Amino acid sequence: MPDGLQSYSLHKIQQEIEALGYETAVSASPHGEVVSFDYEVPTGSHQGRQVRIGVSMQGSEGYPEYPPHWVHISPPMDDGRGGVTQKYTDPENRDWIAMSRPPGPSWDRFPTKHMSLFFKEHLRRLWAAM
Amino acid sequence: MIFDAALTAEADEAAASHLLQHLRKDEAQEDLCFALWRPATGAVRRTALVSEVLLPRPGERRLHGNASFAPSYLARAVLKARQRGMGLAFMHSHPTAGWQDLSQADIVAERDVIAYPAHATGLPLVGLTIGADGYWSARFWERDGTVMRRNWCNKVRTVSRGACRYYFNDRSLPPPRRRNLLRRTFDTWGHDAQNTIARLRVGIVGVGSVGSIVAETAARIGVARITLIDPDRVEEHNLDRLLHATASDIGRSKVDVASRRLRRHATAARVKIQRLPVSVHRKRGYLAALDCDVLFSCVDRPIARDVLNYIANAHLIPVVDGGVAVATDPQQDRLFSAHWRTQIVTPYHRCLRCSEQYSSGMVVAELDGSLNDPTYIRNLPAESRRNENVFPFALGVAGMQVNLWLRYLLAPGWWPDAAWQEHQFMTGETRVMKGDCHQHCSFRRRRARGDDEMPHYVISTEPPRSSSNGLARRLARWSGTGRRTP
Repeated sequence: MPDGLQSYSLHKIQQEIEALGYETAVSASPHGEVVSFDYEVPTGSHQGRQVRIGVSMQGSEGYPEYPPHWVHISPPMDDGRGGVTQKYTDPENRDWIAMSRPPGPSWDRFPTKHMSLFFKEHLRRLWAAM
Repeated sequence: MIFDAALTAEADEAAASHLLQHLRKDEAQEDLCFALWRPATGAVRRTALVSEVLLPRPGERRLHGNASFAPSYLARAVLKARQRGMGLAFMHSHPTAGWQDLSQADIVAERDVIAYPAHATGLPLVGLTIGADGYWSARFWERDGTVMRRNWCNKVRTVSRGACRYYFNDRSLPPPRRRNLLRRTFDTWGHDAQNTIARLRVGIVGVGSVGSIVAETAARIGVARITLIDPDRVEEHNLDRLLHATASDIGRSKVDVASRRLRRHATAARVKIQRLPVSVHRKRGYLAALDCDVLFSCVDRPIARDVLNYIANAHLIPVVDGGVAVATDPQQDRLFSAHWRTQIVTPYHRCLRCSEQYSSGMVVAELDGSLNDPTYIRNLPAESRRNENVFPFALGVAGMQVNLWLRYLLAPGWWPDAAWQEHQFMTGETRVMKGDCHQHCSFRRRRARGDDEMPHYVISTEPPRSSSNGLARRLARWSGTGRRTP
């Protein structure tokens, strides 16, 4: 596990995101460590825009039984769906919004719970609704 | 500490077929075998969950009226147990019926021959005996310095799709005496059934509108040990649904209010009510739940259901879940639809995730506080929102839950499967629903794994008194611009 990561769950999440071809970094947030990466919005009103996405979890363990549910977006964009959200600035002066956005029941039915499904089934839907 | 044992349906069937093969043919021949178990540890009870039977290979045991085993069989069983990280159990049959004592030869075999090598597994030996009528009895052999101490189990349970059976040690857990107070109850389902019901520890998780009626029913039918788990206090808006509460109870803990009334209404000669004003995912609530023989899930939150789903599958404690779904038409200010659903949850029934009573995503949303946010809840799919309820609907679901449990408890083998039921208020129809877990359900792997399986968020610390603003406080402390959406 890399020095910076305290959580085995996030380490696994980071490995899976990197296996999808994204270059990741780990940074601190009000919701613990975040695995972040550059991302092109695939759909919705922001389609084609380059953003930085971060993923984190409440508590240190639980993945993949429980999905990561904090979705961090920089620059901040709020989908207006409520729940716990927070704007913050990271140590590199980048502005973020963190929103609690867990996947729906489909996560429990995946044969293998993996970040590739999180991207396909969840992130895509989030952007489609924005 | 008290002791129990529990067998999976597969272990029960495999062991009973082997151990009773001669006695069922009227041959006066006992038999034996080894098995593997995992511990399930509650606050005051340790249960051996027996899930794997190691039948003897040719030459590994001798039959001579009694039965004896070759040292190679014991060595193979200990090795297997160590490899699997499980404890060793020794099973044998007796030609008599009911809970079995041990003969001197049995004691020597278990205490002096098997118990010491069994401790190489890191767990005590569990001895189980099956009577000619299929009645199980069990004991733990624990090392106390140089002495091997025997702890008799209070009971053994076997869990299957069709029924949960309990076998009692009458010495440590004597049956209740027939009392005039319970005459009608005894006469309705018979002494055997009443002797079972009265000796179970019944846990009720969530003592709100539904749970308070379930608790009242348990007290009325003679249950002598009731555990109530609920962190909430009585509020004014509860009074139209909360059975035991009056205006003077506002602000009191729901478990205290229910407990006070249940003591007066209970029909058992001596009733013990355990009150836990904590959530079932706090360690104290979780361990108390593991001491129960059956758990009623009367909750509407995902975390509690997730914990109970773990317990039902990993600890072989049947959970009886119930829930009401109400849809209103706000524009016309009237009821649009209502239905309530109950289900038995064991490793042999559809789990609560697969029947969509909650999802892992909703668990993490509750963990981070999102489920306290009205905007977030409004944006959830209809089936994921918390539902309102009224006393008559609560009566409906509570009655359905208790009757489903009684059916599961009392059912002979030929009764059809009806462990999942739904009542539609509008059409007046009650239907039996069918279905198993999804192919990839992770709870299928958790069967009888006991202490090895626990939700990662079960924590030992109790929350501060007013915990609802805890997250907001944590967020406010951060240097960012924390907010909760209105």
